[in-house]
Amino acid sequence: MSTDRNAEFGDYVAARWPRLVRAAVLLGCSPHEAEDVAQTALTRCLVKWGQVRRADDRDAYVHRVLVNSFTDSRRRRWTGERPTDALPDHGEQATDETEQVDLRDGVGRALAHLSDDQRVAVVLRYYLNLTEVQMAETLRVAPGTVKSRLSRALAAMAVDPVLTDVADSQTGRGA
Amino acid sequence: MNEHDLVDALEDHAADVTVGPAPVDSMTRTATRTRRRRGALGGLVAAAVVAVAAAGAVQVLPDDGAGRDAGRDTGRDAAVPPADTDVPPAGHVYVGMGGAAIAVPEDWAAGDVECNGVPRQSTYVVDPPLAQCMMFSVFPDDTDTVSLSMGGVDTRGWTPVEVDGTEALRSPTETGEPDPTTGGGPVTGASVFLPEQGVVFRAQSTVSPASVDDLLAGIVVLHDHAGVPGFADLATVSSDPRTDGRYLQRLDDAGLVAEVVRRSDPAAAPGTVLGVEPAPGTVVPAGSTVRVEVSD
Repeated sequence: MSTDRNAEFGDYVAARWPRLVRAAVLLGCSPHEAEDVAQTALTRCLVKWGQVRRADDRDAYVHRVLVNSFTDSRRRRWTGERPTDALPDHGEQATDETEQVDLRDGVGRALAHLSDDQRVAVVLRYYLNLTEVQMAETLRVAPGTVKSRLSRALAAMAVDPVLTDVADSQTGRGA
Repeated sequence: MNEHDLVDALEDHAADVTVGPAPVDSMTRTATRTRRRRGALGGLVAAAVVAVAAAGAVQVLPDDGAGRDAGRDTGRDAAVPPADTDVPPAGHVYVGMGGAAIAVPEDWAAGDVECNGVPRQSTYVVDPPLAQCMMFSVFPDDTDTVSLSMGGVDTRGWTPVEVDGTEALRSPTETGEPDPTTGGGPVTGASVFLPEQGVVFRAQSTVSPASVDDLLAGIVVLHDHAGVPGFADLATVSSDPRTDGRYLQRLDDAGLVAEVVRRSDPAAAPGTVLGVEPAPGTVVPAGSTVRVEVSD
């Protein structure tokens, strides 16, 4: 049984590892920390692989464990500082015209400005491509909660100077 | 930025992250250790809780017959440590597979079913084989049965429940129609599946629907014991006729030690599990040796 399980687990990990690690980075982990979080999550899943295998939606199960592992890691290092890769960047530097700020850097900073709940919602919806229904299941919250977290997150990002400046510059600000 | 831009931006931002190879081996090793440790630790914690209740340690080996009663009276419970937690309720024995067991009345027969799987009397069936014949028979009145098998069940529509502190799924309780042509009463049945232990328990009753609930309420997670796993399903779920490797893995998962005995059997393909001793369903202390007969 465990041989089958390990083989199946190996296949699953091979397919999903990079995306799970990157999702953890988007959630606010440093790349190194992200690998730890993904590893913790997948190990937990392997312990209960029977449950994962029988879950209606295997990815949703794994995503839930990933989010929980991320939350746990935050809780443990709560007194520590946040990863510097996603350091919030306040206004002036980001708008420095000599600095090449493009959308991909801006989005990392904008994510860092969100609350943990909002950031999780954005990553699940727009990076792991979950539907709102799957998100509600993954996060074990009401579908309405998912909707409101997403819409607040999008509203916050829409007015985040990091992103609006980038958008402005891309649409030819100052022309 | 619109949602589409956001998807692209996240994708690009994430793509900048260099991801190392997945440490699959490390995860596999940790998971195996966790599973083992969890078993041992659970035993310790629970031991402290039930130490008082366990004063008169009860023999938990449901031998098929005289051995059981003899064991109770002749101190064979010496095999059970004083702080044993896996003690069945009075008048019951545990029948289990891997990490889970169910309490059944000690006067029940083991596997007393017709070749079509219908019971002759209240009985527990471990590792139920597929129906061997098309014989017609009626589920007797006032009869309860319990059967145990390893996985292989469709749990769609089942409800999450908690059993002895672990997550489980329970099927809807179904009651058949009474059969006027045979005079048989309606049979009520329900199943509980413990995903982590991989065991399905099914209870059926012509006594009452409540009887099914009572039986299923006897499911426990074993701490320092393990049920000898079944092997009948291994031959049916896979086209591979060799069942020995998968069975030995099952024993290993259950924390039991295998002693393989080769025997030539012209009727069986090489590598077929022919039988195990103690029989599947027997609850033994963790780490016990199970003799596995394998065809040469």
